[in-house]
Amino acid sequence: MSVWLAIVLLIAVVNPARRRAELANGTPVIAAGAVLTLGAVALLGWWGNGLIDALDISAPTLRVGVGLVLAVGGLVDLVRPLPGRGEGVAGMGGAVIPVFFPVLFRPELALVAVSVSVDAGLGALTVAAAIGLGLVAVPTAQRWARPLNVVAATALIVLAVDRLIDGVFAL
Amino acid sequence: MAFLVGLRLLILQPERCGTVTAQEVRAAALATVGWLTVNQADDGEWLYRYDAPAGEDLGGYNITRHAGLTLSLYQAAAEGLADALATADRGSSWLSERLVEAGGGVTVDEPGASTVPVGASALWAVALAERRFLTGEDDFDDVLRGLGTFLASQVEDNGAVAERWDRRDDAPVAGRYSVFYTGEAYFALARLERVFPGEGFGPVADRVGHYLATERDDAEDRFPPVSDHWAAYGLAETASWRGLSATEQEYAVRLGEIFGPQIRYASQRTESWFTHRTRGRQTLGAGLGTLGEGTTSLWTITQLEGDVGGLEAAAERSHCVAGLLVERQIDAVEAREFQDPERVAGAWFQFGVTQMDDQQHTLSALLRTLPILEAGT
Repeated sequence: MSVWLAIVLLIAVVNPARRRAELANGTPVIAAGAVLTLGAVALLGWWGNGLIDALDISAPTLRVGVGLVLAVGGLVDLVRPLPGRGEGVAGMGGAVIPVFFPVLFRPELALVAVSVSVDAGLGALTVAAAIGLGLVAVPTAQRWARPLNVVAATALIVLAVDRLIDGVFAL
Repeated sequence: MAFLVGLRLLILQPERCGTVTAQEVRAAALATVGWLTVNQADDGEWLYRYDAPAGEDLGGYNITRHAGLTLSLYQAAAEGLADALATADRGSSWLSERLVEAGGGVTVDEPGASTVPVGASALWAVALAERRFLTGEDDFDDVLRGLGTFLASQVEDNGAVAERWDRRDDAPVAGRYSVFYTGEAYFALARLERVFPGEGFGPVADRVGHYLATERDDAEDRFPPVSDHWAAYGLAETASWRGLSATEQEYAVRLGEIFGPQIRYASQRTESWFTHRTRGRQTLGAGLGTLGEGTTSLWTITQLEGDVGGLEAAAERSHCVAGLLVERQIDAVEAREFQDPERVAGAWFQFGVTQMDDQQHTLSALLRTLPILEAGT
């Protein structure tokens, strides 16, 4: 997996416009939550090979699992309307709830983190995740949120199929 | 969360490859040579099919598998395993008694049949070449050239290989092709080019190789594409005397894409109720062995050509197959539970039955994993 593919994959799985639309917090709080999420992603990536060894699965099998999860995630993002802004802990505590969890640190992001780390390395994962999560902190005009969500969700479905095929047919 | 649990249970099932050492692999191979030595009649014929719980010889025979087993034993002899050379030579004697003139050369005849399959001739040619590499003796050179000439006579202009030879017409049977004989003929002809460079076997091998790489699956209406370990052997053999073309390298990568998923799937199968229903029963020893032969051949290509299209992963896949084979082999202690332990120890069984080729492909796969383990890759 190239760094470029990792970047596109992380942007698609984060789906910055959709996540931003869910958050009522200010940009500094969202940025802090994104940094927190990046740390968790990097930690998972660092543990990536150990984790799949512990689960007794190979990298290609993980890719198949990631592909299935992303396909479902992409379809859900594509079909469901943008969520409304939720309530969360006020102040910087909001960086943890709801920004870090449950909005940004999601199961599909965790799976992708492990898979990208195993396939492309921790460096590529960190760069890609920093870009994807960083985009959440960039304010998006309301009128762009819906089309950007459609683009990200569609890209996610395409990448899910790519991951599936790559996993199934890997040596 | 329920989705992730379902994913783990149904898709991300554990791959139980285990870890094996070169010593364990060698010991497993030696036990198989033991089975083949004990279960060989004086005339060189092996026990073909055996039901262990019933203690019953199920009869039958197959000359192509006989030739393949002879090859596996010469491979074992090349690794220095005791008794392998003598046992293989008895297998060769059995085959040499069945030689008849065919196609300007010689073939291994199948008594009583009006047409003769080419597979036995191909695999025995490879086996005799293996013997020649090992011993340096040229006793069988005339036979080798004769088998090569016969095989070349079975190759059509586009590289397709006629499955059978018609004794009455001394000609290939038109329009019939085998799933595996084409790859076996490719392997044999490529090896004969290494043994007798410049005597004309190489261009014929190349023609067959090109057909396998570009046409075979479509022309012979084979879907899914053939999991052809013999073609992988042939590519590795070809790479030993010239660089592979881009088309051949692409074919090697495609073969890897066929072997890989099968190995992962096979490694997820256990004897548990749950995996029986979600993955099916464990595959035949022969089936698993062919996958190991395939991946070890792809690994050989990487040793000659570098990492072509990610083929270096073949090392890890080969480890996995060897681990599964060692785990599933019946050892001497387990064999004591059966009526006739000598017919069980060192073999692989499915539903209590073993067949000659269960030992053939597994033995070759184990032996060919040894250099990978010894190289530390």
